[in-house]
Amino acid sequence: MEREQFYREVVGFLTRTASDAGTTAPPADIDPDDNLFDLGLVNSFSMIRMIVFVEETTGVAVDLADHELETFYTLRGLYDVVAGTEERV
Amino acid sequence: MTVTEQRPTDEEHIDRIRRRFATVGCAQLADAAPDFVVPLRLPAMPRNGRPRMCGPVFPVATNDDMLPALQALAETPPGHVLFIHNTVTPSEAIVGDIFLTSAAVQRLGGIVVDGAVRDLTDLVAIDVPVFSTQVTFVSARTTSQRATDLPQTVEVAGVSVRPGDWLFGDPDGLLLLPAERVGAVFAAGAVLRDREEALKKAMQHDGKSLADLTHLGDFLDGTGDLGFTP
Repeated sequence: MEREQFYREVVGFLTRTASDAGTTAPPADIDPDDNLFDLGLVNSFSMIRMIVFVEETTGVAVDLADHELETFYTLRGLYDVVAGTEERV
Repeated sequence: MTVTEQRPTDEEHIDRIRRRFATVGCAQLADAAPDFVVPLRLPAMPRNGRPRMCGPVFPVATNDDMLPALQALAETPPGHVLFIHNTVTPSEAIVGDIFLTSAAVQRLGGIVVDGAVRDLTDLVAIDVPVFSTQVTFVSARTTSQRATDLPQTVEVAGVSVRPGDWLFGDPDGLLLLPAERVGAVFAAGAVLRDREEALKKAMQHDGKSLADLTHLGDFLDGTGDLGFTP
């Protein structure tokens, strides 16, 4: 999956689930490097759903053992993980 | 889409996750991923001073008989957690210092006994976490009931403990996770842990109480919402 399509998929997911998750819907001008937590788009209780969505959308398993936590805080980091371009720890 | 990438279950990978788990507890995992965590409601306690344990589970059932436990010990792969369900209560001791020494030599990730262990003073020196629901000095002596199928799915406390599921234990209790969700759940649990730690530091640094942070007064006055989400 291309990077821009991935961003759209995740933003769409966050928009659809914001009400149920008690989070804020993403702004139209969200930047790939924005911290999803700081913007209130993801919280600790909704993060698992976002990760599972990413896994099921891309078919790639996300594994904490291979990445720094901060990687999961931005759209760019998430894409780099599933694309295999994120540096592994 | 199906998640097709196979999660490694080799000892090195298990050990890497275990090191990460050193600072993430069952409470964070359960809070962060309630849809994927299955509580295993047994009154199991750490018995040798090693309060956290995790790994793919290798289950076996027995009936106060040492033979299935010995067979399972022989077959449990390195890094895995041997789970022994003794159907007899009160249980005779299924695991002691010699059994656990073998587990250490075999580099097991841990042992959970739904039943009794013994030799507690000697278990402390053995570097494999061991949890149990009971303790007794009375050893199981029977070795007559050969297990014909190992590992085996075991039904305990209304939960199926299936081979390969991941078992986590700490002083708060035990929980199970499907293997295919371990990475995602750990990521979520670790994030929750980090944010909880930041919250506690903020409370200590700013001298704020939980009532302050949750806006409890505003909520009780009907002028605001309650709570925060880490």
